[in-house]
Amino acid sequence: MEQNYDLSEILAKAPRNSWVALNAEKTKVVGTGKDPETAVSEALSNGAHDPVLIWCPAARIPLVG
Amino acid sequence: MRIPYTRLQMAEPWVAFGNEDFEWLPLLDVQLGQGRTKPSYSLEVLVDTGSSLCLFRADLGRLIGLDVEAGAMQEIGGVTTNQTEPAYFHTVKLYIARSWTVRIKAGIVETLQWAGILGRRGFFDKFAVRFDHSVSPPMFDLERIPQIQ
Repeated sequence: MEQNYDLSEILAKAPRNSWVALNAEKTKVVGTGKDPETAVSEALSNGAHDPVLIWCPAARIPLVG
Repeated sequence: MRIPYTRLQMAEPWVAFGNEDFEWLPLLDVQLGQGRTKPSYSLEVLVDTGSSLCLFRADLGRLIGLDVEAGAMQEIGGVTTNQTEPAYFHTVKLYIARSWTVRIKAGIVETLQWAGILGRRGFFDKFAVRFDHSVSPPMFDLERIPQIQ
């Protein structure tokens, strides 16, 4: 399965401080939620049965350490 | 296994680096589990040589059935502030890139900025990782270290 590795645009409008569920190919957001269960539940109801979860922080800043 | 980095949007542009507003990061698809429970759905976690430990968010820990605060507690912190946070350590199963399963001791924390971080104890002692920034996008190679009996 071909996967998308550029999530910059897909996640640009995703809610912050939230879980975001992507479809298995990581080409679109299929669910969101304040907890992983909610994001997965929304993904499943949208027909995405193998979602990939990513945490979207309030702001993504450069990491050190 | 060779895996491309993942491009993510940054909150602010890199003022010292041509105002780029993105970063390529070594993210890995893993699933988290414990005991005989069903593993979580796939998670995008950061491969982080700078971290001593493997860490996961507490809501994921609870999702797989951990009694988070029952684990051994240790304060942990980053390099830029004196702030610390308690991490509660549990033995969990890590399903890596749908190819390997390892048992590791991971810290479970409330406010992690990633679903999880794979650090030296638990990940880099089990996998040899080579980061290649000579290509665009950058890639990393992942190889299981044979177990020494």
